[in-house]
Amino acid sequence: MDIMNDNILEVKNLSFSFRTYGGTVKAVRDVSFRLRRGEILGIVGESGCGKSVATQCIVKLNPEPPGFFEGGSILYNGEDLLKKSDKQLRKIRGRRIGYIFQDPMTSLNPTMRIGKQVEEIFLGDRTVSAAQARQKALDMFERLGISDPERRLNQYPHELSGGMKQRVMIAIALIGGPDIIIADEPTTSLDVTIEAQILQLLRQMSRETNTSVIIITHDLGVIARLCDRVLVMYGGKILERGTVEDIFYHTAHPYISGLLHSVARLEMDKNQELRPIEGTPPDLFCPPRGCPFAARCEYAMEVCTETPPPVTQLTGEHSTCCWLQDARAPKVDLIYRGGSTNGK
Amino acid sequence: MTDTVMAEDIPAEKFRVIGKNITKMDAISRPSLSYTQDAWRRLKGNRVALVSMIVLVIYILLAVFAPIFCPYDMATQDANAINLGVSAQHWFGTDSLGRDLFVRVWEGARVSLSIGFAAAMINAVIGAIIGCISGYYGGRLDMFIMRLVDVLYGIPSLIVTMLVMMILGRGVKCLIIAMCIVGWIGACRFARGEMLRLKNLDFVSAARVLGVHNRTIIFRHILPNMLGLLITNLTMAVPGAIFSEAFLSFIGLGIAPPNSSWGVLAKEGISMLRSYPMQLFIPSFFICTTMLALNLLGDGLRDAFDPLLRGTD
Amino acid sequence: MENETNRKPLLHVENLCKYFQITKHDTLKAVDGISFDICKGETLGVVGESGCGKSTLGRCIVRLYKPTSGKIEYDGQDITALKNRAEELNYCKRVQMIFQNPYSSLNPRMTVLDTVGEGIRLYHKDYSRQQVSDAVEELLEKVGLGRDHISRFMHEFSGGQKQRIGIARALSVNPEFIVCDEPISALDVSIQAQVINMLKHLQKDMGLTYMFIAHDLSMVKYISDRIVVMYLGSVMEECSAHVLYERPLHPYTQGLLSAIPEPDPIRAKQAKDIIKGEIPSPINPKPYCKFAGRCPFVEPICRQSIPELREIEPGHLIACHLAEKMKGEKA
Repeated sequence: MDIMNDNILEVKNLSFSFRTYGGTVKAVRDVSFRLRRGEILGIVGESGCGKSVATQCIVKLNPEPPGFFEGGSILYNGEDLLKKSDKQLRKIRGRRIGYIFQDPMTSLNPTMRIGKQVEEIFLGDRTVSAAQARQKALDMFERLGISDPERRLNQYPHELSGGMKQRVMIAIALIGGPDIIIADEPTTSLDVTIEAQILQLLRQMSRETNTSVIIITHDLGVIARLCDRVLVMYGGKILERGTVEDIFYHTAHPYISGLLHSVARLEMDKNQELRPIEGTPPDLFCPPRGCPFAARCEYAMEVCTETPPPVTQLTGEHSTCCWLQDARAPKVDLIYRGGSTNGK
Repeated sequence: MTDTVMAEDIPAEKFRVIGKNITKMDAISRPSLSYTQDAWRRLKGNRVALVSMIVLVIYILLAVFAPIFCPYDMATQDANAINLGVSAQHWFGTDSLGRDLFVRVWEGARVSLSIGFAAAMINAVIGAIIGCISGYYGGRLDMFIMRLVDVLYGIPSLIVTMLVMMILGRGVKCLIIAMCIVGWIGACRFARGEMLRLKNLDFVSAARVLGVHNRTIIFRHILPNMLGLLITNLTMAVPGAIFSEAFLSFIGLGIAPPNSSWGVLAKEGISMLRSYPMQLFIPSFFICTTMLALNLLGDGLRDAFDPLLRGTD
Repeated sequence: MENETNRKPLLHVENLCKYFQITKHDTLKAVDGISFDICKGETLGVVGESGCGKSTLGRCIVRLYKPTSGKIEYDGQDITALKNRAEELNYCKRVQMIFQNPYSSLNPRMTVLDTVGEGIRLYHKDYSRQQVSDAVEELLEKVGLGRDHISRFMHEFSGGQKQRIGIARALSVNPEFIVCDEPISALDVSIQAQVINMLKHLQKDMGLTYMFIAHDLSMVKYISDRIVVMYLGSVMEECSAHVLYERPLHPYTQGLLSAIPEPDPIRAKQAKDIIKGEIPSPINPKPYCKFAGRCPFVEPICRQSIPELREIEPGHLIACHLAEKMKGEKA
């Protein structure tokens, strides 16, 4: 398969920072990744790692000022989005690249009926009449399993539950027939049983319409359930990337290994100790010189604090950014042995 | 950003495991800033608010010191110096009775500014106390106080003030009392709203769970968090009080001549509007700029105290 | 920890109800007839989704809410009928709470010394300033914070550090029983494990009893001895943590377990039965099983009356009309 033609999105060396009273915050540092058509890519990381800022850069949602691009390019279908004008970007945002925000409570306009908000996507598009827009909305609601779609179109957001609102958000994101959907923590504020429904829905819609999805989350379980490929971000950089099996079963970076060992799993006993990662995420005003994770890493070496590690390609999709891959470093077993890999 | 050191050049000793270094991490490098210090820093950065503050300070200093150092007295009439324009002897000119306007403006400033601040302050205190009690304890007490406030709100406050003045007579004290009879309502509603918002926050619940007494909760936990916005409200209430005094004096109910206030000066100036307009413009200019400066400062204070705008931590 | 039948429980809750009258016709039944016991040294996990009433339950226990009806007995004493301030303070000394949101549960105008010292000063009025400061520093060390943070203000700390300060505040009065209301939900994943481990160590060191409220079943199961599963104000199932995972009998519990996204791709991607439908509102609930609308096993009897919570196996309680059938299927 020719990978080059299959990439719907290519981010190259993206760097984005914010100017604040305390100095410059380097939120995203030299981030590069590719998104293929129809795949579900997960970006996992904790607060402050830069995952939201990086994806908001794609649709230029970050306020500039105080933010500013320090470098890089974002190629959508071969064209650099950073070089486009606001007018051109508006055509792409919403129609070609959809965005689902985290909090469904605040991302819908409380004074506008649902139907109107969904049809707003087609505002200004003279090829779609109002009646056609309404029909498209109805069709989308049915596909997404929103009960009683006619009535919903006339309701206001406060009349809907959290899960229903999130389905409406997904409908708004999908209705323009986009190539890419970016979902920023779409299920964090939802209950577990509703979250399961929404995740199933996202996976189903992505497969049916061959839409690529970038999902941003801090929940490893969501990544495991939904994604094909994963990027792990920390301190504004990508530490490891690969297929979801690579990341969970062939872990090659101490950070993600630490996370996998620190999460409580259902089959665990009260007597088993969780092994937390000590310390707190780094200060982005003055990012550490070497690897951003070095201060919290139990395998950190002197070189880790001084020089940023190079990228090591492990398999076709799997690569990591860690000095432990160097021949001179000690051999360390980072894989979590429990769960499905028990006994493997 | 990226190191140009070649991986092969790094000596082998650098690959010894040294482990975590988290002691440095938990340390907070930035200097400790209390809420007030942080607000002051942000206020200083707001140029408009800073200029307004400087203007107000200048006016206050002039009000305090100008009449002391000015050679003229505010009541002395000089028949030879009637209706003079701006000159080196009379910096603001003179009025129709030959009194120096410069000293009258700043004597008037003493009265207007002190009435303005005093009335606004008393209103703020009364309003805050009643609003806090009403909001914290809720129930029937709250309902009773709020209905009372609604009724009082419906009565035009200027009319009440005028009626009270007619009973009490004229003078600074009477004027302040009259302005405070219904002036506390705005501050009361505001304080109650803030109290309702704050009393449901978790840190108040935590204090209750610890066993802290209600009184202590109000004074130690809730009031300090309200203080910033109360001060902002106060700053925005002063212009209204200054204007009320000016208006009342203007219609003949407030300060009595030969005492001076900006309202009195405006009243005296308006009869000279056709021939000597400066006699009206000068006190009006000071009324307007003072009110503008206070409003801009109030805006700046509101931004400075807003926790949402606090710098990225 | 085994529950000896003749050991008196530390906390005894019987038929607790907390209703909120929203309008003349609408009653929000946040807690609707809950009963359970907690023994000394035990951790009871309370788990459920939004509207299940677990937070309201926690607040009733620490007397932030007054129950509409029912009994709460702490160490034999009915705490809904405390007579004077001395008794109230005595209860506050023994029962404390850790709050969910570290950003709103700490007063931004106070320093660490003020926050953690408040409890100390309240119950030790004779302590000098130095004694209070020393006691606060000791507590900070216990929760893993540096002593030099004592004069810092709240906004200078990260979420995880704030939560530790909140825990230090709860410990400042030397309690026996702590209600943990979603203490880690608002924290990053790598910090959650730190706080959970700390809570476990503190429990062992100080002999604490916990009521651990959360919506994350994996974490609740990990830290608890027994678990209560709540739905719309009622208990659906109550059993030991181990049994809940091995043999969940209530359809809701089974649905919860299968809905949890596990951090394990092979398991996570296996086809699972996902409960359909939305969580209904706790306002004016119907007079029959609250889960009937979404239950995959629902039968006509489920809509006739409210199922009682009964012991189907030793130590395993379930509120389901089809309890025997569910037990049979699992056997």
